[in-house]
Parts: sequence; C-alpha cells; structure tokens
Amino acid sequence: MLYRKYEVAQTLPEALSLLSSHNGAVVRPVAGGTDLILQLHERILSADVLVDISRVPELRGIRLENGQLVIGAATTYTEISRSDLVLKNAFVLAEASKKIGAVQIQNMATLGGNIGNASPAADAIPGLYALQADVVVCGPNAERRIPITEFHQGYRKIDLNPGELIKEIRFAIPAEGTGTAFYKYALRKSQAISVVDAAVCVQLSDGVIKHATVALGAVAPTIIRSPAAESVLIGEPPSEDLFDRAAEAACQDARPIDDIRGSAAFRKYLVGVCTSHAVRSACERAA
Amino acid sequence: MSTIGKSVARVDALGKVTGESRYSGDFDLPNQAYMKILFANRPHAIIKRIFTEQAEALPGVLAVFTAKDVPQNEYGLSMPDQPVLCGLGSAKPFADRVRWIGDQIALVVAETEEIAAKARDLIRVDYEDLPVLTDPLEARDNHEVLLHPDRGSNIFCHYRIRKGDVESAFAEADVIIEGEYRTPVQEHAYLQPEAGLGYIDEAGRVTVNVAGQWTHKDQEQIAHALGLPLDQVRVIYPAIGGAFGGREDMSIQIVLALAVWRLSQRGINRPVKIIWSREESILGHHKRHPYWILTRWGAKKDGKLVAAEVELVADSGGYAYTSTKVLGNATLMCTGPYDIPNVKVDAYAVYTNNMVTGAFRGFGGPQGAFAAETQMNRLAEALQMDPVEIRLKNVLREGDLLSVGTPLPKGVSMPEVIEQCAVKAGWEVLSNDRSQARAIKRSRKDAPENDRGSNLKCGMGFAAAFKNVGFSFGAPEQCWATAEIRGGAEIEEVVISHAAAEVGQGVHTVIGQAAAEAAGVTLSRVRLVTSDTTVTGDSGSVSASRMTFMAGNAVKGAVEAALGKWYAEERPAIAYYQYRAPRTTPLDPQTGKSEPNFAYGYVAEAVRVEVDTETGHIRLVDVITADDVGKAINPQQVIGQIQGAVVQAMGYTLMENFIQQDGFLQTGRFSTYLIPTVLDVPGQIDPYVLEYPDPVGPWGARGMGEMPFLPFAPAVVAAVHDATGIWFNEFPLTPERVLRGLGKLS
Repeated sequence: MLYRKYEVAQTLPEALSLLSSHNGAVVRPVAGGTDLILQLHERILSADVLVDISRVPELRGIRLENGQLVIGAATTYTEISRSDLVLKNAFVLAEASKKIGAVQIQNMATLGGNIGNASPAADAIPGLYALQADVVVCGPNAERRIPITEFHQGYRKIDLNPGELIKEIRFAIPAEGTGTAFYKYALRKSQAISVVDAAVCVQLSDGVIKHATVALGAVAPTIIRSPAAESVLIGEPPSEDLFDRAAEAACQDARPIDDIRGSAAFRKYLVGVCTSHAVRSACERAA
Repeated sequence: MSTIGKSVARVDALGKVTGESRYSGDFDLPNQAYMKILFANRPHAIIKRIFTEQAEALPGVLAVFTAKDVPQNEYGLSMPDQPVLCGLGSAKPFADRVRWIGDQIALVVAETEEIAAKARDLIRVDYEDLPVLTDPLEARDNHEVLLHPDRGSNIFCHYRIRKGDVESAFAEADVIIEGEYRTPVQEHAYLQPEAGLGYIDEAGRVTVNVAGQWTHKDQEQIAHALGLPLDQVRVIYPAIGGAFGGREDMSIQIVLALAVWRLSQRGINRPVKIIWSREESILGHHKRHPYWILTRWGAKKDGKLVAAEVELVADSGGYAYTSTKVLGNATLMCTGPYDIPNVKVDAYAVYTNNMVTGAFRGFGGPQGAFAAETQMNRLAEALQMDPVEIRLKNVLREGDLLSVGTPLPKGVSMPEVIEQCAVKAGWEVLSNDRSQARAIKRSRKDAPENDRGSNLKCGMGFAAAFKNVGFSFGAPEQCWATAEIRGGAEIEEVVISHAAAEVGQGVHTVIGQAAAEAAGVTLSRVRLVTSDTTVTGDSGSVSASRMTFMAGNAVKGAVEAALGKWYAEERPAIAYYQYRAPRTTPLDPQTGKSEPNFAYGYVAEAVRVEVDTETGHIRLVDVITADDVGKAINPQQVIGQIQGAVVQAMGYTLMENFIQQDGFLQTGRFSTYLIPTVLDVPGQIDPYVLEYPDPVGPWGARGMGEMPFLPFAPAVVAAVHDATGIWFNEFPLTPERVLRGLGKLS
C-alpha cells in the first residue's frame, strides 16, 4: 500500500490537528496528489497517513485583500488560469498554469503543491519569484510569512516545520503599467517538464522600464532571479537590442546542469531564448 | 453486395468504444494468485548465488521459481540463445549470466500482488560484475569480452552481398557520396502493457491468456521450455492493445506458463495473474535496433548510379531475438529501390549489453531506407539534380535486378508511386515519354521563400521505399484458416476459425470482409472464432505486413473449398485450408544471391517542415504519403494505418530519445521517454492510396502496415536540409541536435 490511512480534513484547524495527531507515523498532506502519489509509488517518499486538504475552505480560492492578491494553497491551476483577478493582475501565473502538464493535471494539481514539491523545474514558481510573492505557512500555534525566495532554501528543500502547512500565497498587486509573461521551453507541446523557463514582470513608465524582475527555472538547484538581466533592463526603453542584452545577462546568472532533458550548454542557450521571449511579451503587455 | 473496398465498420469497434472488449489484463478467475518478476537490473554479470529463503518465508508467498525450475532453460525466435530465467542449476551453458538489465532472474507467486512485490524485493542475488560492452563496433571487433562465450564471437550474424565489381565502378564514377549514419532505438509504447492470466484448463492443458503476435509460436516456445508436448500447452489471445512488433518475442508467456505448471505439480491448482507496469514493460521487452551504417555511392554525371558499398552494424543487445531477420531486411533495403549494377554489402548483428532489440514496424527497413534515401538526396544535391528526377532515373522497374541478383516479383509500381507522390506534392511533369524515366521537376511556385530575417525556415524533402510483404529469405510462409458454412437451402452463417492476432490493426474486420466476399454473403452472416491454439490453425504472426495478404488468401481458399462441399450438399460444409506463399530463398553466404521476397508494397513521401532556428523545434506542416496497397480492402483502415505509421515515424524522427548509459536505462518511463501527443502530430497528413494490384495478393491486396514508416525519417532530414542547408546523419532531430547542427550551441 502507498499509505495506511487516508483522512479528509474539512477545516484548517482539523487539518492541522490531523497532521500532528499521529504519534511517530509519517503524515503527509495531499491536495491534488499529482507529485506526491508518483513519489510514493516510486518510493522516493513514504507515508503512513495522508491528510486530504483539498476541501479545506481556508486553503482555497483567490481574493484581493488590502492591495494584495491572495491565492489559497489548495487552489488548482485550472482555477488560477480562469480567475479574472489573476488574469487582470498577475497574467504570468495564468500563463504558467496553462503550461503545467496537461488539462487533467491542471484540474487536480495545486499551487501549494507546486511550492511544496519545490522542483527546480516547477512551472508556477518562477512567476511567484517575479511577482516577489510571500508564502504564508501556518502551524498549530502561529502563522509565518516568508518571501518565496527564502522559503525555497535549496534543491527540494523548503522552510516548513513538522506540523506546518502551506496556507496561501500573497503578493502586492503590480503597479499600473506592469506587464508580466511566462515562457516555457519543453521538448513536447504538453505533458513535458520544462527544460528551461522564464517569468518576467516589467513596469513601464514614460516608455522606460522602471522596474523589472526576471526569474529563471530549471537552471539551478532552485528557481533563481537574474539580477544581471534586471539591471540591464531597468532605466531603458524596450527594444530588440535590449531584449538580446537582457538575454545575454540572464545566461551569466544561470547555473544549469546536464541531464536527460538536455546538456548544460543547451540550457544556457535556452536561458537566452526564454528570457528574450518573456521580456518582449511582458513589455508588450505593459505598454 | 461486395464488401471488398468498402469501409465497413470494424467488427471490434463497438466493444472497444464501450469498454466491453476484454484485454488479457481484464481476465480474472476465482482463487487466482499473483506473480512478480525479479529483473537483473545490471547489464553484465555472473550470478554467484540467489537467496530466496526470506522471500519464501514471507506469509502469503506460494512459491519462488528460479532457473533450476525451468526444464529447457532457453528460448528465442531466431535462435535459442536466451535463458528463460538467468541463474544457477539449469543445463543451459552460461545461463548463470545476465546480459542486459531486463534479464529475468526469479518469479514470485503470492496471494496478492503487493506481497509478491515485497517478496521479490527480499530476494538477494550475489553477482560478479563483468566488463560492460555498449559500443556495437567495439563488440564486433572485441574478442576478449564475449557475451556468449560458447559462441566464440559477439557477431552472431553476417550477411554479404557481392554483385558486380564495386571498385572498378567507383573508379569510373563522376561523383561519389560517402555517409556515416546512425539510427536510434525506439520503444514500441503500445497502450497495453504486458499482462496475462495463466491456468490449467479443463483438459489439463497449461494455458496462458496473453497478448502476442503469433499464438502458435508462443505455444511452441512455451512447450519447448517446459519440455511438454505441444498439445499440452494452450495459448489464447483476447483483444490486444497494440503490438508493432514488440510482442513478437516472449515477455511473460513462458514464465507465466512455468509458474502455473510448477504450482500444479506441487498440488497448488490456482490461476496466476501478472500485469506489468509501464516501467516493467519498457524494461522488459525489446526495442527497435539502432544501426550504424557506413556507405558510399557512386553515380555518373547524368545521375545514373554505378555502385554502392554499405557496411551495417546492428546493436542487438544481449540476445538475438529476431535480429537475423531484421538484418536481412536492412541488408536488402540499404541500397533502396534502385537498379545499381555493382553492390557490396556487409551486414553484422552483434551482441552488446544494451537493451535487447528486435521486431518493430518496418523491421530493418527504416534503418536501411534512412541511409539509402539520404544518400540519394545528397547525390541529387551534388549533381544539382531534382531528388525525384534522380530517383526516376534509377528506380527498379519490372525485370530489373535487385542487389541480390534477382528481379522483384511481378507487379512493380515503384516508378508510378514516386511520380504520383511528387505530382501531389507540387512537382511538375515536364516530359510525357512514358517509356523512359520521365523528366520531373519541383515547380518553382512551390519552392518555399525563406525570409532572411525570420527564424522560421521552410523546406521540403522527398524519399521513397519498398517494403516486403510476408516472411523473407526462405522462411516457411503459410497460413491456415477453417471455413464452416451452415444453413439449409441458403447460407445462414459462415464461421471462420483463424489465429490472426487482432492487435488493433483491424485484421479481424479484413478477414470478415474476405469471408463475406468469398461466400457471397453479407458481413453480418460471418462469425469469427479467433486466436486459440486449441481451435484455430497456425496463421503465422501479425508481422511483416503479411496478415491481410496471407489470411486474405487463406480465408478465400477455405471458403471456396467449403463452398465446393456446400454445393455437394454437405451440411455443414467444412474446409480446412492452408495458403502457401510463393517460395523465397536465403541469402547465399558468399554473394547474397537470393529470391528474398514474394511480394512488396511501394511508398513515397514528401514532407514540408518549418524549422525554428532559434528554438530548434521542427514543425511538420504537411506530409504527403503515396502508398501502393494493391487493393484497399477497407479504405478507412488503410488510411488509419498510414496516419498511425506517420505519427509513429514522426516520434522516431523528431522526438523519441531513448538514452542508455553503461547498459543502464535513463528513459524508462513516459515522463522521460517522450512520444508525440495529439498536439504534436503533423498539421496535415495527406494519404494517397494507390491500387496497383499484386498478382498473387487476395483481390490484388498488398500488405501496407509498415511501409508508410520507411521513407519518413529521410524525407524529414531532406526537408530540414532544404530549409537550413544542414545534413543530419543522425536522429532523432531533437531541438538540441538541431541547434548543435546549426552551430548555435557552444
């Protein structure tokens, strides 16, 4: 058996209590299960008890709160990609949500799951880096709010204590004049893990880039920001030449490895391709 | 009234759409036990000891079987070089060795699948590792490391063709093109992983309900390994979820029978069920052979070929499987459907510690065609000739001699197929002289205009091929069918018994149509009894594009014979009929002289691509495929086969990247071994079904299931060259390979 017991939480307090009430047993939360179940099958992970949090109302849905967009951890990609709030304020997440796996996976998989799984090739996380999002985690006694760049501490390593749950994602609504974009490079049109991807937010003011964030996926042990590309962009008017220079700068920040999806040299090249495409689209949307 | 040439609904359509059809994994019997197999998971080693005690002691485990339990511990379609179970205690020499990661070591039968898996993991095997040979060229020349020490060499098959005098011919050639090509491994990726239910039937026969391609050969191999008379073994095929050659060799058949039989000897009379996971399927069955091909072709200024010299090495992995037969095809097809006066071929099949390889749609044809057609396209470029024009100048016509010194059987349509494909793809016929090679040129209006500033480059490529129908080179070729005509004054029912495996290709429908036509009744009056060795005769395998041809003739013959009895007032009128195909002969060991095949299908394809030089992605805009099928018994099924073959060939050419390292598999699941999804298939596939009848085919039909696969890769490579100016001598054309070829990667 993959697990001994499957429990379904109805509320957040119940979920937290179920997570910490099995002495000595390995207890894991499950929402969509699209990563977890595979890892249990492959024995990368083990579990005695699974706590289903997919119905917990406090973990679901997308809302505006004091100028911040809040996305519950158990919100699915299909919900994200169809949300007017996301489409209007954080298009990059909608764009990424439609590139994850295929429709069946988008219907099941959740944003919190993608963050918790912490794959360096995760498609939703670069957008969160670019949006400078925070992760809110809750434990039996308290909540913590951590910048996503710090929440992901290393290769598949996250800042989550036993008994804690990822509750939601929060980020400030981007300023007026901001455009966002996600560009994924994969070896098949769907159902494929990113070889490299990039997420970009740019804010244009008077035809000049006032603010820029560039995040890269699958080129380091975690998603990374590219400070070099960002500093190339800031203060400049968008142009093909600028996109090329940003792409080149991003390549310097990438630290890719060889694996079955591609060599480091291939990935390094693709960082440029992904960055220039994402920056171009973001600038077009900002204008 | 006639059903031949009509797209009647498939006889199995309703069951498959509603889910009523049962596949081998869908069968259950009361009190069944479950089996798991321990694979070697190491590429080359000697087994020193196997510790099964812990596994046997686990509650719920019924039995653990190893090599000592196999009476004749050997099998293999072309030679019995493979142990059923690797290990100690059998009489088979060197059966204590594992030669690839998928070698089977032990069988565990238990009350549940979970217990069986747990017990399997409790088995400990002590190995002594041996040097791992993964380079087929090294394997060919290395006599220090032998995979099968009793054979004295890693080369287990070598074919030679010696026709004319290539050296003198090259001396007179105006242009010589040399090429070194590598073709990739391919996984069959059929929908249904291996599964089966084994039991002792009511007559005491060891019975397996499995998915395969040749019931009677499975039966023979099981009987041989178990040391049982044939009639004590029964093989049944229910619905089968795809095969493509991947079910020709044994996977679970023998071991499932062995487990059931050994259990019954211990007084445990229980059915045994096994279902492989996708990962077990990819690990456990053979793949398409990768080939290394070194070749040079010479031609005169006018494009006429004068000589071809080819050296081929097929990486067969640890065991032969059908490699000798695949190699025969590649030996014949590596010089294409062309009249070449001087030919020298040396072809080798060698053992390595890579994944085992064997039958896969095309069966050596795609590998041979890739080299031959790329050589033709490069010759055309060197001579500044049109690729269609140079083909028509050299194409084999009726009476011309093959490389093996004999003519093709009557009904050669290669020139017509090439020309018609070209015309469909936009070539213009410039001369109407039917007697000779017709001048044909790519029309200017069709030539893509590539915008210098754009990353998107368009191109078109052309290739042709011929594919044998039926077993080759002297292999006995026959097919049985039984027809039973029932009724009184009028025919009420025609019952056809045959063992053609319905692997999804639609052969049961074709057989129904053949029976209805021969009996002069509607299809609704035909009933089929299929694929059970106790009630059906030997129909041979569903392979070599042969079953429409062979079963069509057998069913036609059986019905005609039964009709004779019907008119003589026999009720029911029953006839048992064997169709024997025209004789073929093996390659002469010195010269290759032979009559290789009794029938062929002919195919040509033109492919339009768009290469994104920034991303390396290749988009297939349009595939024009002209296929001479002789007679389309069921046109819709024929088109389905063409489309399926093109999509499968597309995966082979562009996407499917099977990676092995030091004998270990890096792409053992569908998240790492990518095959095309519906979003990746070509924008348009234009099948152009041609019907030049085969003189001996039933109603003129030729086999056609494989041929659309053959010219596809070389056509795409030519199109990519047309778009980018780069020749690729290796595929799949993954974006990384394309970008590297374009010089974009440091």
